[in-house]
Parts: sequence; structure tokens; C-alpha cells
Amino acid sequence: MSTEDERERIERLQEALDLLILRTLLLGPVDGHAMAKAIEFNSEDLSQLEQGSLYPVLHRLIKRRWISAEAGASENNRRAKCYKLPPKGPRQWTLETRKWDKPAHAVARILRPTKQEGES
Amino acid sequence: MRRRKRMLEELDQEIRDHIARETHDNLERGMPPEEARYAAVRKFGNVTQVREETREVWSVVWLEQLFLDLRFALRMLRKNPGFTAVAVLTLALGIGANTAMFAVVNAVLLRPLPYRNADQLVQLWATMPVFNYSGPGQLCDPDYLLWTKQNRAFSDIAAFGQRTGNLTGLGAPEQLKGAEVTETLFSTLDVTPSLGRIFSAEEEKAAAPVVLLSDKLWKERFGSASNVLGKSITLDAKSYTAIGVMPAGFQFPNESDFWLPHALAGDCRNTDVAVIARIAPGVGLAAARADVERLAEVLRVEHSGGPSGILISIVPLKEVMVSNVRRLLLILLGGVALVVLIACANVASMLLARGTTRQREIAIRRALGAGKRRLIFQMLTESLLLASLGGGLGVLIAAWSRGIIATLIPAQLGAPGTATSVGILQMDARVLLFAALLSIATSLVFGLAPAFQAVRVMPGGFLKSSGPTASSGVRVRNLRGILVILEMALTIVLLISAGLLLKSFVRLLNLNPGFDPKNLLTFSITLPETKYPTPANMDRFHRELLARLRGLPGARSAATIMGLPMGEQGIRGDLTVEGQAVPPGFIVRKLVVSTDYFRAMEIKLRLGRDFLERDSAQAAPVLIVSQTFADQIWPKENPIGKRVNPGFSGTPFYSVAGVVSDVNQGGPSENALPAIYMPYSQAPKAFLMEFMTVVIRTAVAPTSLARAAQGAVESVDADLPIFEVASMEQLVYKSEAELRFHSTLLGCFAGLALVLAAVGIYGVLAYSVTQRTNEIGIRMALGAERRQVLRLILGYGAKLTLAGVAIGLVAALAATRVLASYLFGVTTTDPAVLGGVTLLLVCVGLAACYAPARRAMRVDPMVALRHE
Repeated sequence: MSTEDERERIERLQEALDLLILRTLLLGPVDGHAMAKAIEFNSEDLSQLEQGSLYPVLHRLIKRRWISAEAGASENNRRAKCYKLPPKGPRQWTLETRKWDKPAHAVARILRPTKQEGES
Repeated sequence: MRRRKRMLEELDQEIRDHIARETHDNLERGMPPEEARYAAVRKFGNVTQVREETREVWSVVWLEQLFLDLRFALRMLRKNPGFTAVAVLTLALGIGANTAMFAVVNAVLLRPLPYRNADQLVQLWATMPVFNYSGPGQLCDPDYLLWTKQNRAFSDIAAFGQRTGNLTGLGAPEQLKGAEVTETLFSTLDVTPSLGRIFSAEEEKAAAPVVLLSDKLWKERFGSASNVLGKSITLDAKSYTAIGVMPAGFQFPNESDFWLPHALAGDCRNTDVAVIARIAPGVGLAAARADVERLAEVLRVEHSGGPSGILISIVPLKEVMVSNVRRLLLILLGGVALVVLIACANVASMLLARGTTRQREIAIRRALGAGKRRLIFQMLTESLLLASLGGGLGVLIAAWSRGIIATLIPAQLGAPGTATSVGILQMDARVLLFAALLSIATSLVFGLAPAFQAVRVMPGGFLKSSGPTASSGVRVRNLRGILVILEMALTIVLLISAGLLLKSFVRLLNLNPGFDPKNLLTFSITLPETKYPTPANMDRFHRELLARLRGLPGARSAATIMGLPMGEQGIRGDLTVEGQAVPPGFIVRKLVVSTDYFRAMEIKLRLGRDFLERDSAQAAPVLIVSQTFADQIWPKENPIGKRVNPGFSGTPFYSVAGVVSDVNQGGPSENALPAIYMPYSQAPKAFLMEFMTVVIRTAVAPTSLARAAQGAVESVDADLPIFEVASMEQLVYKSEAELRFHSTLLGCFAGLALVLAAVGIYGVLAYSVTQRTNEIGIRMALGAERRQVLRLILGYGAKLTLAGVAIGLVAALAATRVLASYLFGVTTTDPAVLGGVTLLLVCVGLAACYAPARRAMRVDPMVALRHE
């Protein structure tokens, strides 16, 4: 049972990562390293995650066409691949997020699995 | 694909950059170079794993998703065993019933005839509008020759006529079915003997005494010995040399066990020739038909001796074999399709109800980024899983019920000439494919609406509130209400159809046949012309036979008839009455009976006298008429002594000696035709004496006398086989087979539908009560009485039921019209059936509502208000 819970928790973390990446990208295009730093800074829960685990998630989002990648310049003028939201973007996502008065709180709620929720 | 490759190539570069920059940051923070690098790598994690996972992202994602969805769906179904069990069982019943029915359709209609390229085979089909006749016969040899020589459409053409033969000299005599065929029959059907050869054109022309045997006969009578070739066998007291054995399963045209050469005659005396042909490659059916019709015209103009008033066309052989049962089977298939629709409605309704309780889960999934399409896909995966489980179980149900269905299948369904009867309902690849496709289709039918309904929920809105919104609840309730109405409507269509057939069936069972079928043994005899050339010979045999049979211990009386009720239909035709014109279209049944027939059958003599021994060939001819005959021809006069001419060429007038009560000759489609009975010894034609059916009224179980009766026949003529040995009750049962088959099947379907519909309305109401507990609590707190609450819930149930019934009745009136020709003594608007079925459905509906309504009545207002 506990392994099931653990697996579910990891699944939720993964999904939360989607969410955080998208939220970061709302502020503008960013490269992988900077993204890792931003997420680490914003959420203590995720600071234990290895930075590398960001990349499969990024690629999954690209594949789903939620975000796109392009060659760009990083802060100190090194060539780096930049991730950004597509121009049209998942508009609904944007709208929904803006409705959340305290996004961090919402994320925290999601990350903390409560027993009575979900499938019944 | 190119993009994917580039993405993966860039990944490595990206990872190197990432680690380099992290190292750089660490250096700036003042770490020693070695440690800065090490920390960066550790922070990044397992490079290989990252690479691997990224590659997986770009592999077949949908498959992975499907797998995840399936695993999730399985988990969901396991978590709700009650829901899963009911849904799977419902679907299994629906899919199982359809699969079983399809197995029948597959065996009868879809499986090709067992000949190579069987779709090229056609039969010449004659229609005589004047006589309202349509069938394969009525052609003669010169007609066939004309087609052989002048057709431009066929690669092969063959003529054949069915006949019987008394097999003697090989153990017990037996009457065999067989055919006289042209040698081209075998090339037309493209079969070759498994042993020996077919006869040659010369042998055919000379009507040489050669015979081909069926595999079955070869096995039974010769123990599959290969030295059978050249042996002689005796058929109808004539000797034939066996020259070949046909392959197993070949019994064209109808359970044939032997084939003799058919020597073509130069005239049209024998008009019982059937013609089949194989359409040449590249010629279409329409072109072939046009060619046949062109020749039919030639026939009419040039061939003055040929049949007149006949329209000749072609019909695919398969069509000939199945045309009489296709309609019935399609009706049954339609009926069973309604059952699976009802099952779908039930499961859809259950899913809709569950959808509202899953709103929270859906909302979270959406908030986490699952798109609508993704969610719908996931819900449909669940539906598909349910349907697959149901389908799997359904196939088992179908496989199990095959045995029962097979015993019900009437002989009429076994397409003649297909060698194997329908008894073998195989669960072949086509049936399994049908079950699989049906499962997928049902999953879409019952899954789509709930899936779309479920994803309507807005993530933001829902997460803020604490429970299902009131408005979505109402919408779901309305949707489920509509589903229940639909179920009720479909159910009543099925119930009415089944009710009409069942009532027909009961009518048939209660029908007074006009005789007592209990304790009657029947069997038939054909006297071969070779041994009994004259009526005097036959009459002598007949007298001796009856004397022996009447002396059998256990036999009360014995008699013969040509045209036994429930068996052979005998001869029908017109006649003349002395001094009076018969009504137009007056057709009577002409039966030839021995003395004692009416006593043996227990047919009541109403007027006059029975036949006596003194009514011999030399005495003045007499006949006995049926009650209907007497009523129609002499409504006000005494029929005794009136004179009737039976209407065969050259027959004298017969005077009426008596009147007997009417007899129902056959199954449900037989009206009580007026009938005349003539004494055997005064039969107007020899061919009326060749064939006879013996009836023995027994004091013991009738079939126990069969052996002794056969012995009696052998003691008169040792070479004469008896056939079609059966008790009259067995014959009656067989004549009811068709109506029993479809009334039983449709009855089962309707019963199934009724149960499913009851479960459906129960589910909706029970759920509605749970949903409205709060509302009910408020009403009760405000002073509503329990009775009013009961009325509220029952009223909702009644509204759904009545709406369904109303729609269903209208639909049934349209749908049952296709049943009209299968009904017997019942019209499609039979008020008793319509009323009874409506009452039944309303009662079942209300009964299903009662339990939830009582639960609503018992709601404690305080608890209900806290329910929120």
C-alpha cells in the first residue's frame, strides 16, 4: 500500500513539474539551466529533485506542443537552447492560472495528497 | 521524425552545457575546481537515465499512454467491484445474446455454399403469375437443351431432378433420397469423385445402369471398402453398377445418397427438371439474367410445346437455399440488437452517475494539465475495458447457449444442399470478430456521452467549491432520464413482438387439429413401379398390409392416407360439382384414404357413413367431404348423395357418402382448406396409390410398435423399406418448430430487455434519491409528509415509464408490421397483447421505483440537512 502511495506521489510530483515549468515560462523564454535554478528557488519541495529530471519533462511538453524550443543566448552570452511558450499557447491554461489568487497555495494543495480526494 | 533525431542530438550538447554552467556557478561560489565539477554532476543526476527517459518521450507515446490508461482503468474497476460487476454482466448479456444470434445468421446466411466459387452458381427460376407459383421446377428437357446450346452467359450448365429409390439387397431395405442428373452437374459444381469416376456423356444418353454413391452411403453400406467399384446395387428393384463415390459432405441437391444419369427426353412430358448453371468468369449477374430472359423469349416464340405463361429468370444458388429464412433471421437479429442497445443505455446511465462523483478527480487532472481530449481518451479506455470484459464473458455465454439454440432450430432453417444442417453453430473467426467489433462499438455507444459529460467540469470553478454543482447534477439527471425513456421504449417494442409471437404460439398449441395425435404411429411407403405396375397390384398389397398391421398386438386400428396431416401436404386443386358452379378460387385438398382412416385418427363422422370394404374398384365411386366443404358448397342442403368430380383427367363423378369434421393439415400457415377423401381402392389415378402413409392407433407407446410394423411390411414385401417413422406427436411438435423457435428466442430477448430496463430505472431513481436527499430533507423540514415524498419520487419514475411506453407503443406499431406474416390468429394490434404488455412494463417500472421511493420516504430531515 505504501509503495502505491509513493508511486502516486511521484506521479503527482511529475505532474507538478509540468505545472512549474509552464509557470516559469509565463515570465518569458528561458534555457534549461536557468529553469532548473528558478524552480529550485521557488519550491522547497522540488529542491531535492535532480536537475536532469527536468529534461525528459521538457521534451514531453515539446512533444505535446505545449512549449517549444529554439536556439537563443543565455545571460552571459553563451549559445544555449531556449524554451518558451508558443505564441498562441494553451490560452486556457493561462486564463485558469490567472484566476488562481495564490498559485503557490494551489500547488501545495495538490502536492499534499489528502485521503478523501479523488476516486470514489 | 527528423525533428526527433535533432532533438536527441541536441540533448547531449545541452547536458554538457548545463553541467558546465553549474560548475561555473559553483566556482563563482568559491568551490575548489574539482569539487565544483563533482557537485554539478551530482546535482544533475544520472545522465544516462535522463537520456533514456528523454528518448522514451519521443518513442511511441500513445502506446505508453494507452498502457497507463488501461492500468488506471483496471485500478478504477477494481476499486468499484459492484459497479464493475453490474456493468460487465449487463454488457455480457447484451453482447452474448447478439453473438449467439449472429452465430445462427453466420451458419445459415453467411457461410458460403460448399462449392468452389459458389457465388457464380445460379439456378433457373420459374415464375407463373397465373398460378401464383414461383420455384425452380416446371422446366423440361427441351428447354434445358435450348439453354445448353444457345446461352452466352454460362461456362457450365446442368439439369437434375430429385427422386427417391428403395435400396434393397444390402441388409435392411431403405428409402434413399437421390437425383437423376446430367453428367455436367459435377463440372458445374466443380466436384470430382473421391473414388472411381463420374458417368460419361454416352452413359447419360443411354441412361446406362450406373450409379454414383454418396460418401455417407458408402460408409454405411460398404464400410468404406475400396472394392465397391463395379459392384451392383439394387434401387427400386433395378440393378445399377457403382462407378464412383462422391466426396464426404457432397449431397446435392437435397441429402442425396445416389446419382443416376438423366437421359434427356425429346418432349416436355416430364416438367420437373431443375437447371443450375455456373456464370462464366467476367459475366455479371445482370448480364446473365438478361441472357436467360432473352432465351426464355425464344423459348416462348419458337418452342410452342413448351410451358406457357412462365417467366424464367435466374437466382443465385445461395439465394435459393436461404431466401425463405433470411427475413426471419434478420428480424431476430434486429430484436437482439435492441437488447444490446438497452444494455448500452444502462451502462451509459451508470457511467453518468459515476461521472458526477468523479468530478473532483477530473478537475484535478485538468488542473494538472490533462487536456479534454486526453481525458476523454482515458474515459473511453475505461469504457473499452468494460466492454471487452463484457464481450469476453458474452462470448462464453454465446458458446454455452449454442446448444440450446441448436435444439430449437427448425428444419426449415437448415439450408437444403449445404450438406450439413445448421446443427453446427460454430464460434468461428467471423463470429469472434463480430463479438469483438460489437464490443468496441458498444464501448463507444455507452462511453461517449458520459466521457463528454465528465470533462465539462471546469478545474478552477470546481476546486474552489466543495461538491458537485447543482446544475451539472440536473443535467446528468435529465440525460439519464432520457436514457431510461429510451430503454422503456425499446423494451416495449420487444415485449410486444414477443407477446404477439407467443400468443400465436399458444393459439397454435391450443388449436384443435381435428384428430387425436396421441398414440399414433406413422410411417410412409412408396411402391416401386417396377414391382407394382397396375392399380390392381397395389390394391392387393394394400389389403394384405392392412390385414397384417391390424393383427399386430398393441395396434387398435390401422389405416393409410396419402396426404397425412403435419406431413406431406397431399394434392390440392380445383374440382367440379354436379349441377352447380363452385366459387372462384375454390381449391380443395384431395386425399386418398383406406377404410378405417377416420376411426384410427379419431376424426368425427358428422353425416352419412364411413368407407366400407364394399367400396371396391368395381363399386360405384363414393367420397367423403369435410365440414367446410359441405358448408361452402351446400350451405342449406343435405350433401349426402350429391355428385362431385375430383378433377383429374378422365375421372367419373363420385357421390358423397359422408361428411367428416375439419382437420388442420399443417402448421400455422395452413388455413383449414376444404377437403375431399376418396377410398384407396377407388383412387382416380395410379400415382395417388404409389405413395402412402400408414397410421396405427396404438394401445401402447406408439414408437415401441415401429419394429413390429416394419416386420409386418417385410412379411408382405421383404424388399420394401419404410421411412419417416415417427409418432404423430413428434410430427405435431416439428410443425410447431418454426413458431417455437422465434417466439422462444424473441421471448428470451424481451425478458432480458425487461430485466435490464428494470435495473436501469431502479438505478436512475436510486441515484436521484441520493442526489436529492438534501432537497427531500428541506421539504420534510418544511412540513412535507412522507406520502408526498413518496409521490414525488414515484411520480418521477412514473413519468419516465409512461413517456417510454408511449414512444414505444408508436414504435412497436411500426416495427411489428414485419412480423405480420409470422403471426397466427393474432393481428399486430391485438389489444390483449398491447394492453397486457403495457401493464406489465408499467408494473415492473413502478416496482423498480418503489425501493428508492421508500428510501426517500424514510429520510431523516436532520441527517439529510447535514448531508451536505
